[in-house]
Amino acid sequence: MQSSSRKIVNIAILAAIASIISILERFIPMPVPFIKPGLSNIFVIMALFINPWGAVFVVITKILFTTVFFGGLFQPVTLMQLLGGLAGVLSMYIIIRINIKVSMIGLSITGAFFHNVILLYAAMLFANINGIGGLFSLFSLISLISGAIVGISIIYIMKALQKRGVNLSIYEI
Amino acid sequence: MRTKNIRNFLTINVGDGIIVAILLVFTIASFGMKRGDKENVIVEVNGKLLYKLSASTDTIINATGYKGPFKFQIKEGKVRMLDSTCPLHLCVKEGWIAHAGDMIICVPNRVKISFGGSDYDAVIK
Repeated sequence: MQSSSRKIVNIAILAAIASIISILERFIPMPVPFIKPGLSNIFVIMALFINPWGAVFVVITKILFTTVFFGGLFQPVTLMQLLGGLAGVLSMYIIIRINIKVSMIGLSITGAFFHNVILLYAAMLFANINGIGGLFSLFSLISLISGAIVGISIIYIMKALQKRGVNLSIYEI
Repeated sequence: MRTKNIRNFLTINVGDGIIVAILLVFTIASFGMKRGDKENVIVEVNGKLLYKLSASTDTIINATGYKGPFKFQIKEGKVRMLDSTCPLHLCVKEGWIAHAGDMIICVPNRVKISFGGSDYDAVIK
């Protein structure tokens, strides 16, 4: 298969997996309802390495999919999620572009952090909730944990793919 | 632009340590961050603004709620309900509230006491 069509097919598959995972992870019991492990971001980052716009596509697809599935399409929450997701992709793209020796763990932690911070700012802006500023500390701690989980998952997935002889040449940015 | 393959991102490197350190510092630094405004005490009855008082001046105020009179106290930036016309007195049992985002709600008397900033008259619902 040609490289460009292989890329398109891969991004479509990643978008589909990310959508399903982001629905399934809502059923994982969490101590606080708004905290999610963000496992679908594994596939956002994989798409980012194929094509930055592919990652944006995966983010939009997964948000549309979950909002259609759980309700709440075109509500402020959807816009907040979209802004957060795009901020995460942009920050990770910048980290890749500047020459810093970093692995998937640092990359996904950065993405998770900017995702959460922009989400929180959007919540303050749109919902005008008083007293939300104290959550910054909690959110950065959460992004540290969830980002590490996502990063380690990608490392394991990529090594498993390598072991099975999958050609990783399309994962190039 | 130089292309980078995903294979180069599979081993833990110096940058990871830097990013984790920055985030840990941010977590600790923002721990004591201002949890929002608590300059004013906002008292609402049946959804309408009744009082907007400075949280720093100590007072005891008698007011009339939906069902009957209630009494609340502001002291050293904290607020509590002293007495209220309601069967269970849950609002009185709640005691002092001191943080932005905390609130005392008395459902039978339809009273809501919360903190607010100086710029807003009320929080958008």
